[in-house]
Amino acid sequence: MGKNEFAPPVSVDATICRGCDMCMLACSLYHKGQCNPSLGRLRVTRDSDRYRFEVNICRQCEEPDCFPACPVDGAMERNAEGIVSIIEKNCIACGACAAACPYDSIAYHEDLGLYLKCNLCEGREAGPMCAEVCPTGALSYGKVKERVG
Amino acid sequence: MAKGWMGKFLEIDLATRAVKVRDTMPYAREYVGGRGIAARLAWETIPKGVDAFDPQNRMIIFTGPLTGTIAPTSGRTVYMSVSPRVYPKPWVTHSTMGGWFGAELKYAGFDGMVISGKADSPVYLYVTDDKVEILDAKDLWGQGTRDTQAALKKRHGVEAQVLAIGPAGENLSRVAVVSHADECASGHSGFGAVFGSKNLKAVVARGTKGVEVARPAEMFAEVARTREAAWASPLDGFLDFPAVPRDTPEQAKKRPVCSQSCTLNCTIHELTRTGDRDEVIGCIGVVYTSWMEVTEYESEKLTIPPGKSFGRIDGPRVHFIVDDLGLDLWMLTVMQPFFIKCMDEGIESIRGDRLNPKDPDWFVEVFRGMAYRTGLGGLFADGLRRAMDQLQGELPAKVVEAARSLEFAFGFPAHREGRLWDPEPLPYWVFSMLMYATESRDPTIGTHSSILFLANIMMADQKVALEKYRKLSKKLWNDERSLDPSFEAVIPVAAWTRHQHILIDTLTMCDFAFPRTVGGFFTEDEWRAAPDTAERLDAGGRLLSAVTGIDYTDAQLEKIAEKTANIERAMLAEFGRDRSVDASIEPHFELPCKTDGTCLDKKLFDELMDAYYTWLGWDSKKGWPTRKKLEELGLKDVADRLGV
Repeated sequence: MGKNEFAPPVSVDATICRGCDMCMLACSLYHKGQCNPSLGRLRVTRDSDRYRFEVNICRQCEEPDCFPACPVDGAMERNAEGIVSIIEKNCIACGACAAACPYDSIAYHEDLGLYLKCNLCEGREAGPMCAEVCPTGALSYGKVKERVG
Repeated sequence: MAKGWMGKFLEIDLATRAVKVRDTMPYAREYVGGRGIAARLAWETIPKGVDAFDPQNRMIIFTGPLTGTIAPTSGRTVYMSVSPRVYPKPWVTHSTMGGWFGAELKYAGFDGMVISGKADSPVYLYVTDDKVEILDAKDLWGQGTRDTQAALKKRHGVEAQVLAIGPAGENLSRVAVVSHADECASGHSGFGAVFGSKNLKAVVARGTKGVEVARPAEMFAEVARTREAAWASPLDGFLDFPAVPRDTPEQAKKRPVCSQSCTLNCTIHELTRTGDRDEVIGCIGVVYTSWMEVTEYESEKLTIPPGKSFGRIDGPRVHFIVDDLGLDLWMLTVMQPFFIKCMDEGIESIRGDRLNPKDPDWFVEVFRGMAYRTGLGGLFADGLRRAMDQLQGELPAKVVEAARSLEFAFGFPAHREGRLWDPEPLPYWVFSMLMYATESRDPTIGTHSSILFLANIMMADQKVALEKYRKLSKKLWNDERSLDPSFEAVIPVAAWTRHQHILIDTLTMCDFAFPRTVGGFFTEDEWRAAPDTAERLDAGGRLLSAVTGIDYTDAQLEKIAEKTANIERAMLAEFGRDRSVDASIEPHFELPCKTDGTCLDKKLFDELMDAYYTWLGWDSKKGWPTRKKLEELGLKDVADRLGV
């Protein structure tokens, strides 16, 4: 089990999620230049009978299972803050990372043969785009440094 | 290539099962999307004067370049077809719907579809990643809209988005809807019956493609800028729904959304629980629970009794059943006051059926009857106006007159006309009247943010409102007086509002959020303190430019809306609409406004109409677009076919 003693950097309060899809669309737009929920690195699903939502976004585990599971050199990178990214150009789409993730937070886009994992929009000063566009604060971003320090 | 559009749409003939894939872009360049493209396609494909239920009628379903993106409130879908609801004789009209379907259709690769013909037996369409299948729906026929959606989501995956009709559409009720998600519907125009007449039970979309955005950084900046203005609803501080408790900030965040990418904290949405389900109720759903009393109207010529709200337990329950039957939820707002009026006049039963309109369970049976065409409900399956054609002579004249007033606008229910439904004072009811008189259906339903919310706010404090509105009025219409309580300067406002509601249906966006002639305020004090209440009027154009990569100016966009309006009017003309038909709504506005008692007479109506037709560039005798206007808009072919 991916060890994670700290709160995930993108914290989720699903009780105030309204299912507007802004987070998934902003994610795919930021990373792929298109609004496409199936390319989002996080997923929001609705309960069929209740107006309740589940938000699945990578918790950025302190000791991730995905990273050591990757069999290809250079297909996954872990930065100084411990954030793991998939390097698409090197990824062979074997699915080992997704299989290893105990939270089912790495998704697969079948048509494009791509595995999708959140890396907190690495390099973006203001933090992840999803939390920025969320109208209700169901997603909010806390600094990673405090977590890893 | 410009971004935002998927670049192709479907033409599907259900009779021959032929499917054609066509290029969106020639239409997109001229009409942008949504209602604009739908109007042009309707002009090109719907035969002149054809009946709503004729297989040659087309069901056009279209999205806009913003649909499926992060443009706030953009998750919308536009419908266009010959409407069976229009009274006395159908003509082409439109309908718009929120939800997630339009976006999913784009993710499946298509901007829209044009459906013609009638299938041999019940079918549904399954649109997925660049292809469409016509599949058997015999097992779904007879099911409600909610069960149909659930069954198709089970079959095609939870991400699939479904449009479905219920028994009402199958039985060709002229007030049947195409339903989607919780309370999203193509509601007023009776398009559920057009689906039914084609043996089309449902349309399913599921796709894995994306909507490309030309300038993402600009898009994010525009969304942030727009969202700031569009979180609080303009009416939060002004409109009290009695049963909706004032929100705490946390409760406020949980107001449900009815559309993808909605960033508005919408005043008229709430969440209720019915048994094991959560029921999202918005707009008309809130009316069921707590707002029916507003139907009360009293004047010398006409009295309409207040309705009776069903409360927070029965309201959502009845709401769910009506939605599941696939009926226009608005029917309660005209039928309940009508039946109460009957009882006030001493009529206790109609054709042997006892009346009990304040009882939710009694009403549920009436609604079932409407959907299945049985019993008392069966009499009302085609709306109140058509029911009166059957009951004239059986019921007292004043009851029949009341019913006709409740659906005064060519069979569409009264709404935002300052009398039977909402209390707009002068000049707001005049804007509504001018649009009602010249458009294909109740147009006010698309003009909340552009003009009608201003009326609600003015009623709170006329002095302060007018101070603020004069600046807005000067800026938009170069005349400080346009929003003053008078008939003097109303014409340009009505035309502008007409264009604004066509535009948001074209992009697509929600009229409860845009265009923001007034900002969002949680309290009346916030509004009083705000220096300029006109916010982000250019939001739609800026978002459109960011998505498509084409720089649109407001003037260009208004021209596109005007072009669409003229095509729509040309279609109406071909279906028999002219100035004399427009004038048939005039007597309704002789009734005094329920807020300020203002009204008009035939002479003033004619003067206003003369001025409005002239402003629009229409022949004021006939009420049709002139050749000059059509050619100026690049519509020479329309002028030729219309013979003007």
